[in-house]
Amino acid sequence: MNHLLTLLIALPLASALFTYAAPTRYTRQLALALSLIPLALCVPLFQHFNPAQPGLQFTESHAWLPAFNITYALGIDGLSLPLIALTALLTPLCLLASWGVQKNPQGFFASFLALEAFVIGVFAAQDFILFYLFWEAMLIPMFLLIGLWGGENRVYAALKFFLYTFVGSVLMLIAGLWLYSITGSFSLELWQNTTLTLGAQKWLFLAFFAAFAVKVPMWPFHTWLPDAHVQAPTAGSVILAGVLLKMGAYGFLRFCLPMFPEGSAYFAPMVFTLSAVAVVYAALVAYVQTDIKKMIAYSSVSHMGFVTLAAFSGTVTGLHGSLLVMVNHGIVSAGLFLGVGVIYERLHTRQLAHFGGLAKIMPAYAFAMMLLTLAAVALPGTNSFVGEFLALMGSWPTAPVYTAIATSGVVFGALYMLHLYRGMFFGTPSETVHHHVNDLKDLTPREWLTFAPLLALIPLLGLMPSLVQNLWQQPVQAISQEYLPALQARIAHQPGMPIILPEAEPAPEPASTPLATPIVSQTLTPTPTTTY
Amino acid sequence: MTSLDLLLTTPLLVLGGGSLLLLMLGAFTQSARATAIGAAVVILAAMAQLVIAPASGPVFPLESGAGASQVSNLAGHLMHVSPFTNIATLILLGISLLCMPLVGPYFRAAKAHRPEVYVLLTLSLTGMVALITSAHLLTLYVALELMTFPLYILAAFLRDDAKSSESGLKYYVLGSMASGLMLYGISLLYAGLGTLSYTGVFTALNTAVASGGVTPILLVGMVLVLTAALFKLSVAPFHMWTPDVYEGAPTPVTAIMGSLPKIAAVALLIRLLAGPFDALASLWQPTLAWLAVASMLVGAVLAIAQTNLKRLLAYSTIANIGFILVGVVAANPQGASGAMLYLAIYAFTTLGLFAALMASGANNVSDLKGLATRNPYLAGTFLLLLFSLAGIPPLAGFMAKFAVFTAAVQAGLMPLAIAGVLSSVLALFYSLWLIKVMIFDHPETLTPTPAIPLSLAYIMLLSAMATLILGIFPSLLGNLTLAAATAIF
Repeated sequence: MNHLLTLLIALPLASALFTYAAPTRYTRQLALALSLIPLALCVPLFQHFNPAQPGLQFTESHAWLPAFNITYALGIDGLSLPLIALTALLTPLCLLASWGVQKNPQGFFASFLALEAFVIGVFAAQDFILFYLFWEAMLIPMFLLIGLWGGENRVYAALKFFLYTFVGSVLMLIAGLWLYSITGSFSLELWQNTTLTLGAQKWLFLAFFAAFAVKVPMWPFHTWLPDAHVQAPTAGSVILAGVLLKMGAYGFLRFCLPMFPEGSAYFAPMVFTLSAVAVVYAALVAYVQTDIKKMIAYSSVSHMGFVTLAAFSGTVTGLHGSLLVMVNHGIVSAGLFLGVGVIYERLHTRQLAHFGGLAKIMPAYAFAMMLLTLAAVALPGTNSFVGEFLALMGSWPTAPVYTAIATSGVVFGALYMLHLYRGMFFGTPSETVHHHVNDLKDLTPREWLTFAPLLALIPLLGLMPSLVQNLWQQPVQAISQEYLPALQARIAHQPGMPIILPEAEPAPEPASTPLATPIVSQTLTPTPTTTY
Repeated sequence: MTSLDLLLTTPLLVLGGGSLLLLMLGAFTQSARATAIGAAVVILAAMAQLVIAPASGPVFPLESGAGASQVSNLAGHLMHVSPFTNIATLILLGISLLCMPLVGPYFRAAKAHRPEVYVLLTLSLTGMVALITSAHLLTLYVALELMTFPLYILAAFLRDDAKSSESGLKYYVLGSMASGLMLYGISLLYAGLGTLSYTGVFTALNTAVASGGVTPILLVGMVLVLTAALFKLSVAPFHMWTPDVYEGAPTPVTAIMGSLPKIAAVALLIRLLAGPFDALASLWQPTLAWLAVASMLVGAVLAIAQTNLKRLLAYSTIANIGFILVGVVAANPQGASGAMLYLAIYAFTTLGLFAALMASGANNVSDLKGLATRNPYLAGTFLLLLFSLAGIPPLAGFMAKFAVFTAAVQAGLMPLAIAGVLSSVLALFYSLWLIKVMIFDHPETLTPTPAIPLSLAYIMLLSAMATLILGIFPSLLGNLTLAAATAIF
């Protein structure tokens, strides 16, 4: 039990090497079988995870570079657990969806397994250098996946993806080094218990923001995403939308809000603005796309706008909503990209104009996509509804204007998703569909297998969101308690005015129910521990 | 001269004496192979004492002369062996062993595989070891000349090749000018201070700074001495010779020039700045910081525009020296240790790249198109080494950059560290571009690359393994350099 997280990282990495070395005939079967092991390991992870316990669990710590006080420290809390589980779930599905890869399959499957290892590492790392190592190492397999197995314009997309992410990351590295020179440690736990001056917090926030905003991606740092998504192979898009985008939002929740609460609050209006713009702008841009993959890519930008808006609203409800949207978007957009892959394999086009009338030819496919579309437009009963509703409700108390703008994004979301669905499945079949009507076989058992877990999760999490929500009670309370008072102080002041925290007030009671928004009862928290 | 002096200078004596023996061996046997083995034995013998019984202390004390009692504490020594010089020498000699297997295949193909190559290499190494351990400006000057003269000859070793001759001549003319400047700087320092040993200059400069008596003559002297060292390091704006010389010189010689003298010169620079010129830190620190930024930018930006691979690697050297200089400028033990770690990692990465380059037979970037389909193992090695050079974790290059940037942040040089990481983005670009050409582009020809000579494969394998191992366990080397560097501050 003590080394479960190490196993979760090491096993996919070893699997990658093994897959690369094994004979080509068995590459796919071997990779799939090996990718099921981390998924199986998630069972004991959930069994032994105690949601009521504050702080980290499954912790491991070994000295790694004592000269710099760097430790090999792993540990998870409720923020990381669902994302690790999502990664472990999506990887086998992606491998299943890539069954038809012809070009250098060993390389493809090995890259994918390595990617899984690094992503789990990002969510489990509790030492900054370890976090950074996984964060950057993840770029190499993704770069290869886009550049080698992508579409026509894959080289441009791969370079753009790598450079954009790298620029943001190096700024985060510098911020990390600065924090190290202040605290003498790279331990994330220690950083969270360190109180910094507002000036320092502002700079540190901006540096970390550069890394995470590119990754999320927030408008206007999103331009790499449509390129990467469109050019990436199906499985690449799935893992990109399903998990990699969440790394940015996870970073905000792990670093920015708890470590630099005042700095985050200072820049919260900026984040609100960018998020609201992202929600509406990306939704409108998605509507005018002719390429269905690009459409879904822009819808990701739009949905991630809800995530950042709700996260920075700081209320318990908002944070719950933010995390739920993250998980739900991971499920739904992964399913949608899988769906795009299904039709692309048959028709070799992604132009909306080339489809039409598919509902009669491929009824099972139409059903799967229907469920995913309804989830994407946040129909009540589907998982997305709970997430978006909580996100918007939680954002209202601290950012009413931005929430109102973002709410209109829900309407636009329905607009482009229904437009997409109508164009693909209803109406008269296009010329292309007529020509290839014999190729248009309905979902194969393998494809059913890739869709089934995602389709099952949609109503399950829609009706019982508490399944995942209970996991992150503790960290959500903790973040809100640190950050919300700072935000309230910030919005009570004129922009640009210095924020002066009043002296020792009694600490507020932590909110008792998960969905209540304890705005009124909360006052400014006195800052604990030493000030550097 | 005492027996202790002899013990402390064992590596130097073994290398110097060994070079002369090798010269005889080469002359009598006319066998390059035998000389190569002999050279390896000499280098290993020189390393033996440093590994088995490392010692330290000042060597060859100077008589302070009768009737000059007031300057007696300025006399000092000719050389000073310290843990820092020991580790630098070990890194230098270790890397030089990696250089040796590169030489054979190339010169055999050029029908110029002569014993003299190895003799010149060991002679140059003698100069480098002397340079690292020097504790007197005249020792420094002599060592610098001993280091570079064999390199001039090696650069022009292919006598019938116009480019090689041009390269040697350019290197010689510009290098001599730098040496001349250094000698002039030394004479100015002597005029101003009346002493030439490091300890003497240190004491005298400290006195001068304390009494406000830092005259222009001293500043010009210091600047000229440092300029010569920066010239050897090809720090911008003293980098102009590097691309031309690199392009024309025989490829293994380029690999040698890109690694060994840099190790010696950086070790020297660290010792000069931490020792004699320490008192003037407020003057050289900002200047060197700007030069570091200039090197990183010039190297990274111009490398992007290159079509010739050797020129590209020349600019890559300039950029990497800029990063190393970040550690030097930090002027703390972490910085010096980081610079040495960076040097070692940079040197074996570069050697691995040169080996891969020779194995691929490519001259221009476009020759590498689609290498992944023609020889996946070679392309894989390139990929690993280039990502390491760009500083992507978990490869060794990241740990190198991490060490120097941490040192800069700890020294309070935040703007320098930020400029450094932003330049590393630019430096990433040419690495990514090469990877793109090799792995994503379609090959122009489908003929597989010629069979890779065993010696080159061996270097590539060692280099790739070191990249992975030091990337995950940098303490293996980092602890040694940190302990050694702590002693000199």
